[in-house]
Amino acid sequence: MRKWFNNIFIYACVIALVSCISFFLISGSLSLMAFSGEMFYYSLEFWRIITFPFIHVDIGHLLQNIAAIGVITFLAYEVNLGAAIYLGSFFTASLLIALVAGAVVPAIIIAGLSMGIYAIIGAISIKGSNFIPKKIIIPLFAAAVFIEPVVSMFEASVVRSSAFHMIGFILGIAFIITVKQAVPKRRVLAPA
Amino acid sequence: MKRIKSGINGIDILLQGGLPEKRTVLLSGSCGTGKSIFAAHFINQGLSMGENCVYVTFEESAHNLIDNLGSIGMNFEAMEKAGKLKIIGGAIGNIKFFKEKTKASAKDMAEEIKEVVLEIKAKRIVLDSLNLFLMLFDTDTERRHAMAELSSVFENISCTTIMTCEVKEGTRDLSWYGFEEFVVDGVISLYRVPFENMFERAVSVIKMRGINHSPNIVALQIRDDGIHVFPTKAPFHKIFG
Repeated sequence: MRKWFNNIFIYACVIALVSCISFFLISGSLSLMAFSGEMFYYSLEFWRIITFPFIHVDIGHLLQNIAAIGVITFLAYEVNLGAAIYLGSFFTASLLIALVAGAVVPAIIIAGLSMGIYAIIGAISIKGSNFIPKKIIIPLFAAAVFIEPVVSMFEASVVRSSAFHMIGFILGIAFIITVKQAVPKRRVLAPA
Repeated sequence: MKRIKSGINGIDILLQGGLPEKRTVLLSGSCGTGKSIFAAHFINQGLSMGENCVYVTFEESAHNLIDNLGSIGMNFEAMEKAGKLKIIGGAIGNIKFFKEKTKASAKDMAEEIKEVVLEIKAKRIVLDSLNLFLMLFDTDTERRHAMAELSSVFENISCTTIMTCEVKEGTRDLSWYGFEEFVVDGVISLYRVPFENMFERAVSVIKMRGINHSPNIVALQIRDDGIHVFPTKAPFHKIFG
């Protein structure tokens, strides 16, 4: 039986629950807890870097992301991604994108689970490459990211969010590759 | 289905062409029936055809293995130096020590085998012996899980694999723990039965998925140059009588 702290479904439920609580029970959550470079770097409201993934613009945004994290968590379970990679890729990508985007364009508001979700998808694309070859899964997910901007006729906010999703996807791939190389391999049959 | 030569002519005749390619075969037999020599023939055949091979041993060190097989004319040392053969593993005590030290799981060990196979692009693998590998795990559940991990790796790497498996003396068992034979694609059983003042050896193909094979139990001899199988000759004794 899996130990509870390695159970990614628990983490997915917690993420969804916190997102729902933020949306429904905290009034003005978007202005209080979303991220922007101005608020983080100039107003020194540091909590925003932790709270922004759980904040959503509207009910559609919230439901879309909760559904996505549900599906992605099942996929992550199937490929045995592990809680460390699941949470690590989610938060690392969200953090890095927010910090860099906030420094480059301080005015834009960043909120939502989707960057972290795309990072998990990126990690799954590497871990699951035994089942779906990399040369199929990576272009497939990359294409999915670009459909929205095309359909929206390249509306600025949609292009921006797609760019963040794409970067999240790439950061997820980078995260799992880095972790794999950093963790020393346990050699038993041919010890070094 | 494509066949590959086992290295023992009589076995290829029993299998009506050779071992099915990229499948996993369990080679079971009690102590002294010739499992390791049989597996060595399989590797030797692959090397002579220019195929790279991996030999995973839990029975003895690589050095002892090379020495023992050198005495029947198989020069594994030269092949290992040329990079065509990788011998990994060692005496079970050492393996158990490293496993406990590194807290390696069955998946880690299976992945290690896979890494070595992919490194030299091996076409043939021998695992000698499966029951010693499974002995590294304490519970039946862990052993079954280990077997599943191993099977999964062998399926993914598209090699032809022989796993030897010791069985209890004097029984009709095909495996030590009672489940190994159900996970593999084929089972070849080696026998050693007392007859008059000596032990006589025999072999039969118990199962081989996807191909026709002879159901007969036939004579097998271990000579100075290795194993000889006589596909048209029954052993001199009644094996099950």
